[in-house]
Amino acid sequence: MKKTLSFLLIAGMVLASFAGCSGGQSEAPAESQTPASSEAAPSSGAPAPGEQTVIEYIDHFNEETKVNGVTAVIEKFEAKYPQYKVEAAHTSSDTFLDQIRTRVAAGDPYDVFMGILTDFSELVDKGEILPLEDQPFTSRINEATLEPETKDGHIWAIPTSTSIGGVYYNKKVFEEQGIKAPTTRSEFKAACEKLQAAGIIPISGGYMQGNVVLDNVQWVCHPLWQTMGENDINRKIMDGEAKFADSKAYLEGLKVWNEIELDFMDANELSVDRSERVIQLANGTLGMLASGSWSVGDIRTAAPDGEFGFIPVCVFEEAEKNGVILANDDGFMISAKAKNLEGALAYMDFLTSEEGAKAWLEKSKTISSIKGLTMDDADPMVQEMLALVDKGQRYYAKDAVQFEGPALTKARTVFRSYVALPPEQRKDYENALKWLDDEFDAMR
Amino acid sequence: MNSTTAAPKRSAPQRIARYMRREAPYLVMILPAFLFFFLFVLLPLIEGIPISFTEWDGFSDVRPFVGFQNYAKLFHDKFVYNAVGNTLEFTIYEVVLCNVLGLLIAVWLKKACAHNNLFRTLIFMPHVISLLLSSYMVRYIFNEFYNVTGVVNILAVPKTVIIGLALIAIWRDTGYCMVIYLAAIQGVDESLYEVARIEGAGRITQFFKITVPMIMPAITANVTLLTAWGLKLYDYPMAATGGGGPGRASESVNIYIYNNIFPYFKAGYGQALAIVWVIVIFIITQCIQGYLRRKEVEL
Repeated sequence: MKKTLSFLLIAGMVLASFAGCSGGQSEAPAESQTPASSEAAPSSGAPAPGEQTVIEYIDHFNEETKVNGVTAVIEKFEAKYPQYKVEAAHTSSDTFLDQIRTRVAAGDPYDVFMGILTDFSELVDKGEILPLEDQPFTSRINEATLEPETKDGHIWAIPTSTSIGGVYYNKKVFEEQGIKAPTTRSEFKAACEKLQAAGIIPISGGYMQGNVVLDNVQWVCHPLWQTMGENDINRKIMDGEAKFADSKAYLEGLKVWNEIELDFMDANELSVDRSERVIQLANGTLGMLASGSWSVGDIRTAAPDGEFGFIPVCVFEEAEKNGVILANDDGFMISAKAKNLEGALAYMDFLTSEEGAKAWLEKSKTISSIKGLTMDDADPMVQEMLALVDKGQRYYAKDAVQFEGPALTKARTVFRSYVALPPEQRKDYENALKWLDDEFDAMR
Repeated sequence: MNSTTAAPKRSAPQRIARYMRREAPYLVMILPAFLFFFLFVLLPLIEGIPISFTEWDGFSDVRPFVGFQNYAKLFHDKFVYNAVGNTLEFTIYEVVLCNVLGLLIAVWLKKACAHNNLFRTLIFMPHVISLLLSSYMVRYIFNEFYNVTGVVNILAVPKTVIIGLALIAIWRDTGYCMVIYLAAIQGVDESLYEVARIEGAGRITQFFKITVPMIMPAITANVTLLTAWGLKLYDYPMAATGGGGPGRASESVNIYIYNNIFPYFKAGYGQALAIVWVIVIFIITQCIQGYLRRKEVEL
């Protein structure tokens, strides 16, 4: 009797565990019909009246203000389109690219995901991304920002923001230390030395993550690539036609990067991420933060009344040659095999509409790429960024080839390893470039 | 019925049916775990074997066959040796220190009383925190400790990062070892200790001559298990050091496998490394288990 009872109990638990393992999507009856119909005829995937279908969305926003922006957009979208429910996921930027690729490889792609052409060029080549040039919402975006997202005559991503890369500084800290905002390389170095002497971390990027390291080295190298005629050096390196050691721009770039940043690295730099450094910039324990316009919201949240300035990375001795780096940001793509293509297109349409874009802008404090959309009461940090752009102190990231696809991840790994080298090895520049080549080649 | 009549000879199907009837409750009990193991461990491993002979990028329809090229390549890959070194270093720290500390704490807290029970709970508590959460927590604690005291964060230095990760694992897993050893110690016959005391054996002698031999099965289980955990190192560096940093100083074999399969688009190569590593883990754990089993005492 006891044995039979225990057998039944165990069998019941086993069956219950199988029941508990069933996927969430199967609970929405309409969802199971969408995959087949969306491939054949997207419009036939529209939900029937009263039904609600799910749109799977993912981004890698680490900034709280941007996550709040996405939440605001989704809330308004769902209110306007009650037939859609957006399942939003936010993940780390370090693993984001892998997550997207894994889902694509598994045949279960996200409907809408954050991305620009350089992130997913290999998925574009394999037909996994939906071309968007024929969509009505594409015409709402500034043409100049669409150009880098165009390949083979098709537009593959919609960038909703423009990012401006450079260096934030804490004005109060600078004032207390008697430092003027640097405009040249030697002034920048002198500012770092003065801050270090005062026991303040001079400058940081938050180098725990490889993508942050690569951002920073590219901000140093962009002006050098473009002024030294090496706009395509990264393409040549990716194709195996050139090496880091062949590049005078990279040689100079490593020297500058070490001189104005790496030599002043905090002992904790390799264990801290950018969000932690934002807090330290806000509370004055960090003098300067190398980051982009995406950090404006978080810095302002951390120090609502703080005064912060923005300057370019000072690569040159000539002040007028130093410039901020403009690039596309907050781009979104739609999977060509989206389970809910109709919903994905509706979401993108709303995101780029005035209502959606304003909802995003209010929370995220970014610089919009939507035509005619201006920011009311732009943060003073953003005003300083735009002033530099207006003065002509800017470089466009699209004017130089950047690492893309698998090479992007390899470049992140290689430069993150470079930053961890002992200073004497890091600053033996010619050998360091050969070392970068060895590391990069070993991963081919 | 005549009780001296011999039991009738059963056919093979009858014997199997009898066996199944007797063992059915136990088989059903292990069924969920076996299914989980089959679906998420064995099946992917078996499916991965043909992939390891290709140059597949992870999502193309085409999988170019390259024979044993991937297997040959990994023995010349310096990053493999780096990852193996990191993983072995971590494993040694974790296995030795978790077991030594767990055993010493178990001996210290073996008496059941209110304050011992409280300590046991506190020491075991970190084990219920997830691997990822404990890694994030400790990273933030180390960072803040540096900000306040200026003492260098060992996770930020290539030479000490493995020690830092091992500290997280030791903090988490010592309680687990303690629980296993407590159960084993409580199963040792007290009369053995009485006889030893009468014979004049001190506490240390009793520990090495009675306690340790008698709890050898628990030592075998813990050492083998923790060795396997250590060799499968992935979560701690993923969360605490951004996936193997600084540089590649905490890149474990599993992280290198993951990087090859996903971000580097070398799924064939990553799969080959995964298969070799499974074999290595199996050999190491079997050797350790075999050696320790021979030390177990049978009364």
